Amino acid sequence: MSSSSGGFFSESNKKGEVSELQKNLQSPEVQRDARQYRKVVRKVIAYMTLGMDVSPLFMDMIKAAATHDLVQKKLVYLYICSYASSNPELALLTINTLRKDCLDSSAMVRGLALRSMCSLRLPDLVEYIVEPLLAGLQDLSSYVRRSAVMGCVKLYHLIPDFVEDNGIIEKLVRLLSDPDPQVTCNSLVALDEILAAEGGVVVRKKVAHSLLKRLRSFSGWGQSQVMEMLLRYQPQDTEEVFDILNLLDDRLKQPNSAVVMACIQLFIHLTRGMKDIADDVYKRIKGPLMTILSSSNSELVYVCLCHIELLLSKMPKLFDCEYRSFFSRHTDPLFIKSKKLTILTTIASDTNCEEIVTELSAHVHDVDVKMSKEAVKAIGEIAMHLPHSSEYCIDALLSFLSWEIEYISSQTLVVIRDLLLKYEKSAIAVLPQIGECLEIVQDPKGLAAIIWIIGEYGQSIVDSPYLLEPLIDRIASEQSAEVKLQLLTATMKLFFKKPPECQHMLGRLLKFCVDEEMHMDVHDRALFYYRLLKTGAKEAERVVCGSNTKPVANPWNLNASSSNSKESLFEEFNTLSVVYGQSSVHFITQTVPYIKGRPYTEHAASDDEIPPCEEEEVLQADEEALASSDRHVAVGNLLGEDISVEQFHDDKNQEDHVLQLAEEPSLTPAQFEQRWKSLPQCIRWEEMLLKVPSSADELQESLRRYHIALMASSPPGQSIQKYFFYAQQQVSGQCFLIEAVVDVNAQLLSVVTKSEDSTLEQEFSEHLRNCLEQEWIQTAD
Amino acid sequence: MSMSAVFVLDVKGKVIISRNYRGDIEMSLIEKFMPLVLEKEEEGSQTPICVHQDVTFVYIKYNNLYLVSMTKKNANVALLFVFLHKIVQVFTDYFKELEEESIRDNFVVIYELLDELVDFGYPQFTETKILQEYITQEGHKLDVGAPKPPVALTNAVSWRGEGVKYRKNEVFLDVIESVNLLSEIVGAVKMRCYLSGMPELRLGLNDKILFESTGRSKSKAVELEDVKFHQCVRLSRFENDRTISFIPPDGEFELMSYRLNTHAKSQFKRRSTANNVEIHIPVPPDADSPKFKTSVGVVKYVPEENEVVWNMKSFPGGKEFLLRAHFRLPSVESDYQLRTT
Repeated sequence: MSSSSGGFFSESNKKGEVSELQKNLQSPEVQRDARQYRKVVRKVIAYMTLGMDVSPLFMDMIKAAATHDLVQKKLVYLYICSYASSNPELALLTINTLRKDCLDSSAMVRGLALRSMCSLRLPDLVEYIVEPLLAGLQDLSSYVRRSAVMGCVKLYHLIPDFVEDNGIIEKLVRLLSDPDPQVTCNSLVALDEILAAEGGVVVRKKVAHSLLKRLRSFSGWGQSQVMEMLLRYQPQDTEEVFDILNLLDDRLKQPNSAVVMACIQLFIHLTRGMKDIADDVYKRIKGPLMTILSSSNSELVYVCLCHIELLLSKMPKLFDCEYRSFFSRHTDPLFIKSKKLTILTTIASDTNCEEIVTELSAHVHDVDVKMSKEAVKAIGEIAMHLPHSSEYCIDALLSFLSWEIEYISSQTLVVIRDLLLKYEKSAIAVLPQIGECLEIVQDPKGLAAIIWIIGEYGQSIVDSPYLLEPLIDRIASEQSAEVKLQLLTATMKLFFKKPPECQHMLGRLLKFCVDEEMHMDVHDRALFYYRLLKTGAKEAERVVCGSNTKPVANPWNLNASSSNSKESLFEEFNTLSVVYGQSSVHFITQTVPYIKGRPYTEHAASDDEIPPCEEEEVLQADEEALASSDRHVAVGNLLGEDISVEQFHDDKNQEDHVLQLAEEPSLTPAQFEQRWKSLPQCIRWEEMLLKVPSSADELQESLRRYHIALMASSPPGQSIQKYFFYAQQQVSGQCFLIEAVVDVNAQLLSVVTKSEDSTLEQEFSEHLRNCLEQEWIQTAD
Repeated sequence: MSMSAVFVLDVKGKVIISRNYRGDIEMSLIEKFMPLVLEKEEEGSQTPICVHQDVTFVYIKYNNLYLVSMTKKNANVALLFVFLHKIVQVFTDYFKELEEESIRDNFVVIYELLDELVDFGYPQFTETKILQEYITQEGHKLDVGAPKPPVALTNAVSWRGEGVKYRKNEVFLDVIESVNLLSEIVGAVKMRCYLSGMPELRLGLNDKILFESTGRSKSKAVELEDVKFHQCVRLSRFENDRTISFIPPDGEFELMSYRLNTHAKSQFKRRSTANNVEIHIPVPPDADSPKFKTSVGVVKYVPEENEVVWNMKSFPGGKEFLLRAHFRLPSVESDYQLRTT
C-alpha cells in the first residue's frame, strides 16, 4: 500500500486487480459472509485511496450498499459519491437504496443516507432526493435534521430553483429555533449561503438576541459562525451595544481561539464610531490576543500577528508595554520571526528602543540570510522613526560591520547610506571603516552604497581616490549597471575634491564608458559628464557637486501607506484579507450560486491571468518603495509625468460627459459584486417584453453589439430569470452595472442600472433602453 | 469558513487521503500545492497560507505530514487553523501517533471521521470522546445493527456521555506552567477524571480577586490574567463568586489555562559569578577547518564528539561574551542528494 509499491503494478496488473475484486464482489459466497464482504469492499476503497480507478466496479458496489453493516454502508456511499459524476446513469440505481435507508430505524443510517444522497452532485437526481430531504428536515433525531439542513445547501448549488419550489427558506428559518444547537447553526450557515446573492441572512433584533442568548450552547465552531453573522446586526442604541458587549465578554475566555478571534472581531465592529470607549475595548481585547500569541499553534500565532499589525495601524500605542512578547523564540518558524520583526519595528519608541534594537541585533545573527538582512533594515527604520534614539541604532549598525560578514556588511551599508541623508552627524562615523568594507562587500547594492559614500564624503577619507581606483581598473568585468553609475558619479564628485589624484582615473573611466559600455544609461551618463566637463570645469562642478541641498527628512517615505486601505481591512477582520493585507475584492472571484462546470464562462479565463495576491507581493512592493528612495541614482522625470497627467485630465474632461462605451469592457465577477454592493440604487424601470429570451446567449449576443457584456445569469429554465450585465466608459474606465430580471410568465422585464459616474447615469439608462428597443421591448412613443 | 476539501499529504506532497466536501474546486489542484510550498521555502518566504489562482491553500505541517484545506472564499483563517489542529488532535486521540502509516492502516476510520467532522465545509461534531462512542477502530460488531447516535450528540452536556461507570473513582490534577523569562507565564490545569455518573466538581484557587472579596487579602494570592476555561465550566458561576464548578468530561482534558504577566525572576543574584563554565556546542559531523575568535576563555574543537567546547574560568553575572566559530563543510551536494532521494 505504500507509495513505492505503486510502480510495482503494471497497467495490466492493475486491471487484473480490479477484475479480481469484481469477481469477489459478485461471488455469492463472499456476499453471504458479512465479514468477507466487508473486507472486499474495504479493499476497493483502499485502491480508491491510492488513486486507482475502481469505477468499473460501480454496479457491484451499489449492490454492496444493501447491508446491515454500517461501516460497509459508509464505505459504499463514500465510493458512490466519489464516482457518481463519472457514472451518472448508473447513479440513478443507488437512489432506491439511499431512499430506503432514509427510512431506516437508525438515525445514524438516516443521517448518513441523506448526507450521501445530497453529495452525489447530479442535478438530474434532485427530483428523487427532495422528498426524503424534506422529511429529514422534520426528523425526530437532530442528527438527521442537521444533515438535512446541509443537504438543502448542497441541492441549492445544483438547482437553485429547488429552494423556492419547496419553501426551503421558511423551513430553515423555522429551524433556527430548533432545540438542537448544531441544527440551529447549520440552518444559519445554510440560509446565509442560499441568500448570499441578496447579501446573506438579515439579522434583526429578535434573531440576534435569541442567538446571543443561546450562544453558549453552540460548539466553538458554531459560536464563531454565529458571531460572524452578528456582525450584520445593527443595535439600536449604545445601551444595547453595551448589553451585547457584556453578554459576549466571557467568549473572550474560551479555549477555542477561533471563538476568541470572532468575539474580538465583533467587539471592534460593534464599537466602531464610538470613540470614547474605543480605548477600553482595545484594552479588553489585548489580553486574549497576547494569550493566542503564546499558543503552540504557530500558524494561528501568525494569523494573530497579522491582526495585531492591523490593529497597530489604528492604535499605534496599544502594545507599547508588551513589546517583549514580540521577541522571537528560537523555535519560532521564519514566518513568525519576520512578522514579529515588523511589529517590533512599528512599536519601537524612545523608551523601549534599546531593548528592541538589542533583540533585532540578535536576529542579525540569524542563520537565515533574509531574516538577517530584514533585521538590519528594521534597525535602520527605527532610526528613521526615532531621531532621539537614532544614535543608539547607528552605533548598533556600525558594530555589525566589524563582523566582516559579506551580506550583513552590505545591507548595513545600504541602510547607513540612507541614514546619512538624515543623521549626517552620527552616521558619518562609518567613514573610517569604509576602506575595510570595500574589501568585504561584493553585492552590487552594498557596493553602490560604499561608492556613493566615498564620492559624497571623499574629502574626509584619507585615501579615497585609491579606494575607487581598483574598481575603475576592474570596470570591464563589472556586471551591475547600478555600481557603474555610482562609480561614474562618485569619481566625478571626487575629481572636484581631489583633482590631481583623480584626473587620470576619471579620464580612463569616462573613456571606457563612452567607447565600450553597452548599458545605455551608463554610456549616456558618461557622455553627459564628458560634455559637461568640456563646457568648463567650474560649471561642471556647480552642476555635479552643487551646494548641498538640505538633507532629506524622510528618505524612506515612512508612514506613507494609505490608512484608507487599512480601514477596509477592518471590515474584513478575521479573514484571509488581513493576512494578505488586501481587501477580498482583489483575490476572491467566486460568487454564488456557483454552478458546476460553468463558472462565468468567458470571464473565468481572464481572471486566471490575474496573478494571485500574496503576502510576498506586498513585500516586493515594499522593496520597490525602498528602491525608489535611491533618488541620487535615478533622477525622476517629474516634468514628464506632470505633462502626461495633465493631458490625461484634458482628455477626460472632454470625454466625461459623453457616453462612449469601451468595446471590450473588463471587470471580474468579484469587482462586479463589490461595486454592485457599494453603489447606490440608481435608475429602475420596467417594460413588457415582446418575446422572452430563450437563453442567456441570445440576450448576450444582442447586447454585445452595443458593448454591453454579460457577467452572470441564472441557469436556464426558471420562471424568474436574472441577468447581470456591465459596460465601461471608454476613457475613464468607469463602470455601468445592470441587473435585468425577466419574469417569464408575465413577460415582464425589470431593469436596475447602477453607475460609477453619476453624470452619465441617465444617459446610460437611455442607451440601454434604445439597445433593447430594437429587438426586445416596445418602442416608447 | 467553508473549506472545499481537506487533504493529508506526505512530505513529498503525495496525497495519502482526502475528502471533497463542496465539489467547487477540482481535487487535482492539490498538485499545485507542493511546488508552491517549495518555491516559497526556497525564497525563504514561506507562510502557512499559499495561493494558486483563486484557490487558497491553508495548511499545517505535523510530523512528516501536511494537512491542507482548500477554499475559494475569504475564509475565517484563524478558524481554519484551529480546526486543522483539532483534526490532528482527534486523529492522535484515535491512533496515538499521527503519521503516514497510521493513516494507511486506519483509512476506514479516517473516512468515517472526516465524514462526521465536517459537512459541506462546515465543522460539525469534533469531541473525540463522543465520536469514539460510535466510530471505533474495530468497526462495529457485525449483525448488531447500526448504533444510535450517542445521547451526548443531542444532550445539553455534550462533552460527557451518560452511563459512565468506574469501580474505583479517581481524579488527577496537573498544573503545567511554561515560563517565558522575558514576559510571561503561561499555565494550564490538566485533569484526568475517572468518575462515575454525572459528577459535579468544584475547584478552589488562591485567586487574588476571590481572596480579596472574602477578606483574606493577606495570604499569597495570584492575579490570574486572561483565564480560559473548558466549555464544561459554568462561566456565570465564576463571574459571580469565582468558584470553578463543572461536570467534567470523561478521561483527560484541559480544565483551564491562564497567563500571568509577571516577570519571572532569576534565582541568581547579579553579583554572583559562575566558575569553570563549560559550554558544549554540537556541530555537524563532517565539519572541518575550525576557526575561533573569542574575547574570553578557551575554545576547543572535539571532532570525536562532534562538538565545540568553550571553557571559561569565571563568568560574572550580567556579562555577555561572544564566541565566533567558523567551519567548512565538505560539500553541499551530498546534502542536496539526501534531500532528493
